[in-house]
Amino acid sequence: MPDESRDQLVRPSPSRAASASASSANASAAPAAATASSGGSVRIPGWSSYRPDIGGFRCLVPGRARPFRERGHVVDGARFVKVGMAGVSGPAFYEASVQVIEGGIVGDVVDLRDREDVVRQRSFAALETRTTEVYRSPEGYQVIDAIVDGTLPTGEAYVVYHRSYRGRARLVRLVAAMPVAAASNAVQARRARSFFGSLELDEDDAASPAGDGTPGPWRWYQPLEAGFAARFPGTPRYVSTTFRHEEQERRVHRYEIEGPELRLWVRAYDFGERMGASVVELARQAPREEGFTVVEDRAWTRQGYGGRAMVFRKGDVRRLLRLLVTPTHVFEIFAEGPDEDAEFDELAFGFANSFRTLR
Amino acid sequence: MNATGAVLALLAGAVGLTVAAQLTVAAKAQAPEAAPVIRLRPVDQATVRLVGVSGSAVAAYEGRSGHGRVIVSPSSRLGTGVVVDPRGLVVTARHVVEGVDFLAAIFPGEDQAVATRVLHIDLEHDLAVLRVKRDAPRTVPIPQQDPELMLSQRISASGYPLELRERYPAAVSGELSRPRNDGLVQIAMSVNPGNSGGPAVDEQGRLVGIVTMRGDPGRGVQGVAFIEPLARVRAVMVAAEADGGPALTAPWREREALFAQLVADFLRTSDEQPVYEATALDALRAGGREARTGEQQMLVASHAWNMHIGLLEARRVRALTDLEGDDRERAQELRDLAVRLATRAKESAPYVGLRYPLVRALTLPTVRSWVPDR
Repeated sequence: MPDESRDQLVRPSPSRAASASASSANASAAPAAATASSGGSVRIPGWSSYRPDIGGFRCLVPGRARPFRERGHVVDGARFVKVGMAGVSGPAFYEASVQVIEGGIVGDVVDLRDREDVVRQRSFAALETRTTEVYRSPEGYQVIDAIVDGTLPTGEAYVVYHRSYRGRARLVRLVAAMPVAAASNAVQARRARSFFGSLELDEDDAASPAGDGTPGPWRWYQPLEAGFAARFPGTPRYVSTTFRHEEQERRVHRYEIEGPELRLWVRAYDFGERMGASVVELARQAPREEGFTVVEDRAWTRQGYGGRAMVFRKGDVRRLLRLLVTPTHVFEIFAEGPDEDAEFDELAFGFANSFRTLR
Repeated sequence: MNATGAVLALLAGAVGLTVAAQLTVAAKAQAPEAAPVIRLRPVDQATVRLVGVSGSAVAAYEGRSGHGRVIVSPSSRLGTGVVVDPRGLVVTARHVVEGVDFLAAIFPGEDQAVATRVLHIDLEHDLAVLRVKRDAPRTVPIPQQDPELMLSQRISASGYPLELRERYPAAVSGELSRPRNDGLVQIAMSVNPGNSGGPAVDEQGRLVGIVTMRGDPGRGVQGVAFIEPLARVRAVMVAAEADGGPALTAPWREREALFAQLVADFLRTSDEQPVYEATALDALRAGGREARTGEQQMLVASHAWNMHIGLLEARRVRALTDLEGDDRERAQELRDLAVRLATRAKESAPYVGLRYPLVRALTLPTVRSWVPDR
């Protein structure tokens, strides 16, 4: 399945569309029903737009859908509220909902697994999870995809597609269930894709949506997919690429702010395994190939992880690099600006020193 | 709380010896009854306990008072280090310190925690060099020549396995089994979580390596320990001296000592049933004034919240409104401190919520000290 479709599900605002489409995604397959139609507004004849009264998202639901509201308690005395709409369209049924926590002490968003019983209430005699995949979207949500094989008491086999978006305080969840035969039917498959593709999330719950990378006010930026937090002067532009390492495709996340005489960026390499001192030599080498010379090179540690602090110079341009090696990732924190400039130094060191890995 | 907690898997069939979860902590802090009558070897005198915090979780439990409580359960790193230089340079295992927001050292027989910085991390091997804020008269020097080792030779180690509140290192010994292809030295010796980073010495007390791993009992491997050999220890020390960066020479700040003590207090008083210790209050108040980063603010908030719960439990009441006099004032102070610091952390460093989920709990409109019945 094309990777881009996942990001389109979030339907980013125009300012974020470039970053979303630039991102590739994880290698493993996503639910077929999660394949969104590309571009343009989504339409399904006889369906209408739905938005819960507590907010969170907007999407299309079947015309015969009925609203529901559930309340309950979680372990620490908190209440959860789930508001949604469920309906039938042909042989398939659809459900869209948002869950929030009220009160309590732990106060975390309800876990997806806690709510699987909702699906069981749909009269399935047996359910078996086929795949579950959790990843982070550049738009700032933890995304959980699952395909569940269900069996009715009559023995009829169903396919149940889940997709959940976990934000700061809400869990938005879409479910489409249909007989196996319908899942392979082109009309039903297109309808399901349109359902998933129609989702528009409220941005206020996103952890750290990417931006256009132009300078602005300082703010903490915490991209879920790369596992770090840093203070950026503006909202960074996000680009995701891949590289080959030991015969496997690995991901590189890049977050960048670029002004007239200033570039700040973080690169997060997802090696998936511990890298040794060889990465230091690679980090040294790249600026040299761009014509920079090494001015400073010393050990650097952050949160008990090791790395290097380096300074490079080319003409009147200075580049600072902090390299941090964690058991699964390598992070590069760059700042590039005018040499011998106290203002740039303050800004660059403030940026580099704010970096935290969240792995 | 079950005793050992999880250990960090480092290699197939082998596990690190850091205690990556909470250890069993006695229900009440207790002063040692008497000085030990057993003398410490020089290596034991130079062996320090390392305590670190890399985040925390919130957990619900039923208190002795019968009320449901939610407390902060620290994600702790507990290991061992050995002082190898009188300037306070300490060698330990890399995985003891990886990921920590706070780190402190406690010298044998002492309760006071000492500020500790990470100087150098070996990217190739499981070794790290630290600097502690204290002149250390007792050291285990690193021999300039590798001692001649022989199979079946007796090797001894010193460290702080398992129990957080024990004040002296535990000795253990075994036989040198073999050199491994990956350069580690295998010892037939039983070590436990918490031994990571401790010194291994020969019969003459000379350092021969640093304990980093043990066989994984879950895979049926028992009584096997692995040490990083002396040559690697020497190399990491040379590297640390050569480019340890500002941490090698920068003057200590008072705040570092304060937060070292707070880390130790937090770990000692936090368990499934947190302990209220009036003696820790002054450090907590100072921490509230001095906390700058989101992590520091959350450390203070977490500790204050646990002390608040510990006080309610000690008095067997549900909420601070059930207390009177000084107790009520103190419980209110602790609760207010926790809420204030968590609010500051949420505003100034929103990322801390990922590793310190107490942030959300303490910034809700209603913060309750008990879990209501459904």
